[in-house]
Amino acid sequence: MKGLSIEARVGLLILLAAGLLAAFVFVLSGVRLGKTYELFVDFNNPGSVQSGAPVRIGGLKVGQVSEMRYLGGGLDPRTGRRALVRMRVQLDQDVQPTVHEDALFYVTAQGVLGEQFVAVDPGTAEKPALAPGAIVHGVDPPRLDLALALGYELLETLVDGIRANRAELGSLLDGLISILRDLSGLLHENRARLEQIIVNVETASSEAAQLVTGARAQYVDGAEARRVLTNLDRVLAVAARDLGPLLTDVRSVAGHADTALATIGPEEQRRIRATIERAASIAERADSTLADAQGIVAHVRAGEGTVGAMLMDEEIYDDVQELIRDLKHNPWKFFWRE
Amino acid sequence: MSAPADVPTLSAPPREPGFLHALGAPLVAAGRDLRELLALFAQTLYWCVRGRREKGDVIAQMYSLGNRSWFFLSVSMGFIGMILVFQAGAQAAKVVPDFSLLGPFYIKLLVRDLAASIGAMPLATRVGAGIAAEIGTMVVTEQTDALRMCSAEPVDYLVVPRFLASIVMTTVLLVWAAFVALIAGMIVAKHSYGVSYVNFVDFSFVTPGDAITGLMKCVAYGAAIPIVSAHRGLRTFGGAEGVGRATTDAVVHSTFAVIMLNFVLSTVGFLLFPE
Repeated sequence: MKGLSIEARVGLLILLAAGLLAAFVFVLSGVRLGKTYELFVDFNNPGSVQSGAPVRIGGLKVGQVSEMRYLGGGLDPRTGRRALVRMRVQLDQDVQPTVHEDALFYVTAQGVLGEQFVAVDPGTAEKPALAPGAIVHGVDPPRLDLALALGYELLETLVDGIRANRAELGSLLDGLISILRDLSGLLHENRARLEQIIVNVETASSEAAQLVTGARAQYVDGAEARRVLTNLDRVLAVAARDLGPLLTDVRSVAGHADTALATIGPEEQRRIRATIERAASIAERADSTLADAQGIVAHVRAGEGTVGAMLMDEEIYDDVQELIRDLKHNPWKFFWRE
Repeated sequence: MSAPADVPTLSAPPREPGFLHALGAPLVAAGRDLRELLALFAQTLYWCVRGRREKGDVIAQMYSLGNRSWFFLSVSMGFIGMILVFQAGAQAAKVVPDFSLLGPFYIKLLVRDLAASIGAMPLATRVGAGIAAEIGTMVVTEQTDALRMCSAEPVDYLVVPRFLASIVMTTVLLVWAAFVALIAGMIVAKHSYGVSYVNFVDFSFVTPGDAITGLMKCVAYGAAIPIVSAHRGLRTFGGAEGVGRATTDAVVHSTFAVIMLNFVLSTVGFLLFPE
């Protein structure tokens, strides 16, 4: 420095400041050195994002908002959607393959009270990358101002309602307090019973659990249930095996029956009808005969008549037995009467 | 010694001291000073266009005002930057324990106002005192009279080189001061609050309006300090004591000019670039 002239020293200082100023202007202008590509993001409410706001992926700055254009909610023929504001964003070319068609563009803030910026969730790798110049629909940030306004309106309505119905609300509260007081007294008076009920419920619950466990062991996991299931499986297997041929046979029989029925003419049908009528008549007579027989049997059971007396009267039975025994020992009595 | 016809005349001593006189005299003096300052500023602009300067005059003044103030201003702004960030962080911690915005807000304030206005204060003391002392000494030793006798205009010869040099070098120094304050604040934020350098150096809050306002202030302070200081120097009287008084007045008035200009230019800045 000592060898430099005054002019050179002044020039050096000016150059230094000019360099700083140029660097500052460069940073401020937001010029990005690498190659970039454009995307358009439609919002109905982009919050307070302004041109120059950063665009971040995973917290890293990958671009910036270069323009905000008011569309006024008009229908865009290219997208078929309506949007209020269209945002032009410049992103680094490097991230282009990683921002997919299902990427989410949303407005968020840096820190608690910080500047708003556009955050990008790059989407899934299965989807193709967003082409440069694509128009996507952004996720609008939550409208805290709207929520506050609506909340204020709600509170105002609530306060008005309370003021207008003060007497009714007071009465309602009094009633509620009375109910609660009564309930408290009731609970206090029946405390022992309630405790007993709770104990009973616990016991019932415990026993029900045991019952379910036992039933499960017996009827679900037990040997009996397994055997039933095994048998059922076998039956089903047999049915599956035999049902096909059986159905075939049934169809065959039905076919034959159809054929046989087709051969029956009017004369045969008349004879069959007559045979059926005769069979019905015979059945009626058989019913009548059966009824008579039942009457005779009932008569015999009652010990009425000769046969009934013989069968049901013990004394006659004993007399006959005695007579037979006497005839066996004294056969001459068949020929000779004393 | 009588004041030259083309420089501001000295205010007359009070004739009849009294309550009303005591009440009105400072206002009248202030009004007269303002009028004289504006007259000197107009003369300086006139001689900037019409005057003839010797080669190297402006460069010598730039070296004197700029390079010789560089170290003093760097140290001052370094400490001021550290204090500002530390105090801002301490207050922010009471409200929201989130320092992610400490850097962006600090840089915005630095660019829009603090670097220019705070940096101009120490510069006004050093540069203003130097200009007032030099010119005041020349006045009390009648060198300005000698200049007039040589058909050299004192404003053209003494004020214009300092005026031009100050405009350039004040701007240069204040840009440098902003850089120093930024670096100092960055270091304090890192070591006191754990804010990384990358997070701190975030220009996202700075708008072109901020930069234009800041540069406007740099130029305005660069113009005001030599004019105010030269004005005090040109109206010096009373020998060495008068030079001392002129020097003190130059420092006080230059600083006051910086504050007043800051108020005016900040208002203009907010009107032109409302954010």
